[in-house]
Amino acid sequence: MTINIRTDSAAPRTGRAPTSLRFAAAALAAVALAALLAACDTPQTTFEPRSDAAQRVHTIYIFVIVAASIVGFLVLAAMAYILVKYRERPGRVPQQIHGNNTLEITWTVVPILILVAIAVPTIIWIAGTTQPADDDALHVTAVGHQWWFEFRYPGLGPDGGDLVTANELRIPVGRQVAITLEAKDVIHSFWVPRLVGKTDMVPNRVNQLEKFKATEIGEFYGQCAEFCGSAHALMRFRVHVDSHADFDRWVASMNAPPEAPAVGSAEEGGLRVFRAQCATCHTIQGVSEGADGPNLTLFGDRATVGAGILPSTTANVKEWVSDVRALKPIPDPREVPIEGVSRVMPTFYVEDPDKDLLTEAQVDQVTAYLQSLRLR
Amino acid sequence: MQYVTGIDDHRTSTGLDNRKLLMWAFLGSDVMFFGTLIGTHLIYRNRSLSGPQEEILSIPITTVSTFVLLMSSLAMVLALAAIQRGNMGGFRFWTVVVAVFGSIFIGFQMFEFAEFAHLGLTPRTNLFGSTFLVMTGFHGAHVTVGILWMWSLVFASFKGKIHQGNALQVEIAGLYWHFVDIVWIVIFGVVYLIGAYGAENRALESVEHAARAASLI
Amino acid sequence: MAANIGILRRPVSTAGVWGWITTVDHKRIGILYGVTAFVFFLIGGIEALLMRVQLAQPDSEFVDAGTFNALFTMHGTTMVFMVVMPAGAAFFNFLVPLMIGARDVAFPRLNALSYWLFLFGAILMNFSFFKAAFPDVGWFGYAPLTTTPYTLSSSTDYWVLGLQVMGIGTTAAGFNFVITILNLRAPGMTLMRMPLFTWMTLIVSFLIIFAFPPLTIALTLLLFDRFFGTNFFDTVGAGADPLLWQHLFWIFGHPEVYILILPAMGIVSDILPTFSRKPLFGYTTVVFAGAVIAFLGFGVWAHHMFTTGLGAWATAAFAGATMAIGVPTGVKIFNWLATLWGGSLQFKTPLLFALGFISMFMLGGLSGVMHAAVPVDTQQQDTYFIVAHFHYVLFGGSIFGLTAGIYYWFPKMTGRMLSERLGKVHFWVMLIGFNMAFMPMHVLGVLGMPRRIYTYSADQNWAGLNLFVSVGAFVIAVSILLLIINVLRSVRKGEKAGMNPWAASTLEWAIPSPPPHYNFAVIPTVRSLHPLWDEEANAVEPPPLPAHGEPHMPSPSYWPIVVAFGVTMVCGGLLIWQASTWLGLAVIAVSGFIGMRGVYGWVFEPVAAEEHAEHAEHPERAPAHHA
Repeated sequence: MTINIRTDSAAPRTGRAPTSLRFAAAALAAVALAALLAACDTPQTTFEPRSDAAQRVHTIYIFVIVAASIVGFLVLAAMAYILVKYRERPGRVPQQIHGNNTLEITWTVVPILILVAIAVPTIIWIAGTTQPADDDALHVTAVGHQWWFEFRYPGLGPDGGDLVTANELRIPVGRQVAITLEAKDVIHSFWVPRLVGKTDMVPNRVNQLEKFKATEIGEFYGQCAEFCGSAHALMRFRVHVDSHADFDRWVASMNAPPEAPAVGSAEEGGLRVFRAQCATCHTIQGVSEGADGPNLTLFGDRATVGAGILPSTTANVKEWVSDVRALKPIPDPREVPIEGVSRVMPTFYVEDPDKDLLTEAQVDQVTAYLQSLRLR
Repeated sequence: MQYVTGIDDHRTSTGLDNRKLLMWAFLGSDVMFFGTLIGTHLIYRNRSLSGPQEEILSIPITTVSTFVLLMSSLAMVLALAAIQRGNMGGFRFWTVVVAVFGSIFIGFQMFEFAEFAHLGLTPRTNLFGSTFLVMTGFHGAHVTVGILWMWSLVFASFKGKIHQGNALQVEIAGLYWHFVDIVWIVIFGVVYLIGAYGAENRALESVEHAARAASLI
Repeated sequence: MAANIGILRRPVSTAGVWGWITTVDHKRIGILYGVTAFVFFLIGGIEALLMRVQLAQPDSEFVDAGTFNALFTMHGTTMVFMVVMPAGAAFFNFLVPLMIGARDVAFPRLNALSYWLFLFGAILMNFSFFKAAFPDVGWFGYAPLTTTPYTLSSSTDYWVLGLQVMGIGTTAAGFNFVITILNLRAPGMTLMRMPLFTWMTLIVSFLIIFAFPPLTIALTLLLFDRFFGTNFFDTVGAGADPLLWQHLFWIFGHPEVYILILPAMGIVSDILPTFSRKPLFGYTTVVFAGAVIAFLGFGVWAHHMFTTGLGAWATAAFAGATMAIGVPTGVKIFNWLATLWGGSLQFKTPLLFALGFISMFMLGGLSGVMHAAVPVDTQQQDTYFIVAHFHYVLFGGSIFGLTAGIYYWFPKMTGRMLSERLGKVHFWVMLIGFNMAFMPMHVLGVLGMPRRIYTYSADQNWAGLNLFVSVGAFVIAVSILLLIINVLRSVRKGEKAGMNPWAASTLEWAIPSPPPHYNFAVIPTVRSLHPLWDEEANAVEPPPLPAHGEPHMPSPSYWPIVVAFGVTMVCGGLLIWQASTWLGLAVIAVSGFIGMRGVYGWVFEPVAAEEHAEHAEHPERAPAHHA
């Protein structure tokens, strides 16, 4: 269904034309695009909605694309007809017409009617966004940081406080989610194309994302959509839509302190390094109370490392811990000593004994420890 | 189309002098300039996190300086009327009055700014300090330009460059001066009267509230 | 005499480089604007090509993140402020006085000042490349990313001050053209007999004088924050609201969009009648539609901010206003088509580009209506769909329209025709390259690709389309190369144009090509919208010069460039001040003095040079007024 619509809509919007050459080029381009589209699996597409909210937007989206395509096609066809019919020919003397009120009123009124047809669903949709959240809605506060996402679940944390995680949002399927958006430093934008349209995260303002109910279990791509500085392109995140049981299990696991690593294991060494080097910034529930950095509780279960940019493999985690700047263009803390701005992660290991804060063995241990933090 | 010789190149299509039209266009643009500054100030009303705000504005003192500025506009009218009649003495006298009254207004403003600094309000203090001082500062800069303009008209008149024949020069300066005056009326009304009046009331209410609370005890 | 005050004597020669530097002739200033804009077009184009190389493959390491961010910031800023606006100004300058039957603009020296401020502002901003780095905050520079905690580099200061200097020049030009068009029309040239291009110039000039002050303020406030520690955008310590910047910027920024497109609409509205051999259909309607677009243009700025959380009803109101602005735009398109209807269409290169304009601009308009629908905008905002949209209106619209203007008026400007054959090849290559580069961007937006990202991962499957887009970008580059070849060849070897090579109807075609410096030997008297199509006109040759010789024109002047230099260097001094307080203050003081000295010399400079002093006694032979 969606694929058909895509190709339909792509065709009339491509190049237009008085001559066959132009048509040929346009048709070729349209076919090429359609082929490319059909061949690819695009995880961030806006055209495969998997929530009630995204579906509502999608319906209007298709309507305006079809309306615009019809108008565009008709006007281009009229233009092509005029260009062929009235081309210069010997003996043709054009009549000197200065205007025609009836015609001009017609082509003022007809666009107004089309625009009203688009305005009505728009206004209805806007009115819908003012509805209060369902009683059983899951409330989440998402906070944008340069360049990662923090997610806080009020009331689900230890002692009725916030449950906090980062870069991978977990929500239950079929239950409404009401997300409050905030920003720590500059403006960011929260966007999960297949679940919900974007809303900006603005410092000193509290925005409400459109409330949505995911309709399918799975993993969805999200990305910051407002330019927010050097690593904007690498400020991504994932949304895991879980079954209710999985979600509850995850919440319980998030609140339980991790088991102590076995004595003498690499994980135990890693925990020591973590306490010494990482704990000021990073929280692990039951282990550390860090400020500023992403919460790492159950890090071993995350699909990605570095705010959605790389699969969470041992090699990638290790590289991230060693030399974050090799993976993401973030400023060096020594160059950004500005008050009020989040601290950024230092470079720990670049095989330079003068600068390195950790040895390779210690990096391996921390990596092993972080990957051991798993759901129970 | 035809070519008719002997048409006066000096005419303008509207009959208005180019320079006068330029001043009108400039003032139109300046409306947006001050509109933006005043709008910014209003958007940030009551959003300062700390430091003094509208309650430190003094309506009585500013009423006096506003009156002085209004009177300078009256003097401007008299200066223009004088030069249009060819009364150069009257023109010089009233133009100097405009400049002096303008300077008195600027003096009040400098006193106000110094007083605010004394009370701990500078452009760096809070949002109110930034918006209020930048807005009124830009207005003060406009007044200052006007004062310099007035003096240069007076001096040019002694050199014979301003006379009844080009009273338009004075008229254009007058347009500018009246505009700057009107902008101040708006700032006085919107920022001082409405803003500070409310602030005083709020301050009063809290005093009364405290008094009532005290009497209950 | 007052001229003796000057250190610099009033120049008299119009020859050589000094002739160009001191010129106050609107035609020469027009050419300066045009050539400068084209140079920046090449720079902005190279920036675009570098970005397209980077994005042609996933996870590319052709340029790093900082470079890419600087590239898109400078590409946007350059194309808007240093290409399309001055290219429009080039046509305003060259054509408007000719179209209304005037000898020059109302304030010739102010006109020169506008150009020098534009040039120096543009150079100042680009100078950041040598000093720190190119600005990298995006062309609309959203706070608080631009404030000190988040942008330590002085590149943002260059951006602010460069825009500020260019903005002063642009605003001055806006005043100049409002007065010129209102006041310097030939006898009988009523407002409703003005060519459409002149009308659009008038409307754009009004837009400039009302839209630029909010930008000036916004930039000033940001500058004060960065230099003096005020709190306008200080979200960290003072609780500032970042949306203030967005409101101020877009109150300027949306009218700016119409500042960019209306000149092209004017050009097309004048080209279509010439090559259809019939008048514009519904002249009054087209004029009125332009005015309505400009007026509504001030009431739609928040559609750039639908996703910022404005609140439901503000959002709904701005959505409605945005849809409303589609109506007069649509009316224009229909009127253009009706102008073609029943005509005898001569498919010369200017007409081809005009038709390219109508079709491409209409597609951009239709995608614009799509994101007026707020729910759709939540999926399109800040994606490549938006990038596609504004390139359809600004490239498919403005650039195609301006190129049509180049082909149409090049004969008037140089006296020689551009090659038709090469022109047609240029058109087809550019049209195909344009659609290859920008049509797939709609699809990329639909597939969720955000704008302003320097890299994307392979698993998004955006690579194929991106490669296609990049190829298209290089096809566009080839088409621009064809234009350069055509211009360089034709300037020297092109066919002689004569007065009116297209048999067009408006006044600029009633004088020799290129026009003499005084434009009209005798000011024409106008009786209709199409003076050269009137029956009697066919017989009319331009009259010889009157007995008293050439009309007296204002002498060249040094002061405009001196004042522009002073203003620019005051800003330069501010930048130096950040590194070295005393050196900065010294530069500010010296250049402030130079600027003031320039203003003083300007004010007391007579209309004519001393050598011509006797002419000053005959003001009726000088152009209306001189400022």
